[in-house]
Amino acid sequence: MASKVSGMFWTWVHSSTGPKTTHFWAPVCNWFFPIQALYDWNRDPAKISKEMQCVLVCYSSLFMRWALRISPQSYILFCMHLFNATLQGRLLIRRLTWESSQQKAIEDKPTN
Amino acid sequence: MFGIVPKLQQYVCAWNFWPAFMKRFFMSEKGPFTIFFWTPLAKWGISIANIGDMRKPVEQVNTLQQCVIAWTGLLFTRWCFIITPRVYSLVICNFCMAQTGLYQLYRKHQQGKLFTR
Repeated sequence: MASKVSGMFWTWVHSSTGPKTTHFWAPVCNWFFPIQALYDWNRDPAKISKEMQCVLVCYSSLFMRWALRISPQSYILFCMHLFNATLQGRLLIRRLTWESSQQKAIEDKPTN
Repeated sequence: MFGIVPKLQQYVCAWNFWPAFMKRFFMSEKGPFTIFFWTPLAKWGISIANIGDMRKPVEQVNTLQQCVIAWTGLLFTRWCFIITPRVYSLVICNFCMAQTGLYQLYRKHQQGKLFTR
C-alpha cells in the first residue's frame, strides 16, 4: 500500500502537470493573493489603496464565475477567488469606513 | 445563473440597427455577454490600478501585494506560453501586470522602504 502511494506520488511529481512545471505553480501562486490579504488583516487603513482593492474584488468576482464556466470546472480556483474577493473586500470596507470616520471628524470639528 | 444575461443578449441582438459584424460579435461564444470577454479586462484593471497608484506616496504601496502581483504576472506570462491555445493578449496582460508590480517595488526600494509595511 505504502509503495503504491509512493509510486503514485512520484508519478505525479514527474508528470506534465506536476510540481516541476508551471502548470502546477501558476494556480498555486494565485493563492498568495488571499494569503496577502490575511497577512494585512490589521493594516493601517491610511495605507490601503481603495482603487486596487476595488479592482481585486471585481477581478476575483469575475474569476469565480469563470472558474465554473471553463471546462473542466475548477472548484479550487473558485474557492481561491471566493476567499480573495471576501478578504480583499474586507480591506476595502476597512478603508471606506476609515475615510468616512475621517470625513465625520472634519465635519464635527468645532470651527473657531 | 438566473438567465438574465441570455435574455439581455437576445433583447440587444433583436435591435435592427446593429450591423451584421456587431451581431456576430454579440452572439459569439467569447463575446461581451459571456464571462470570457470580461476576465481579461479585469486583469488589465490590476495593471491600470497600479499605474494610477504610481502617483501616490510610496508609504501607501503595499510591498507584499506588489510582490504577489509581480510574481503572479511573471508566472502567468510563462504559463500563457505553454498552454494551448496560446493567447498573446493574455501574455501581454500578465507581462504588464508584472512590470507595474516590479516598478512599484523599485519605487519603494529607491526610498529605502521596501521592507516597511
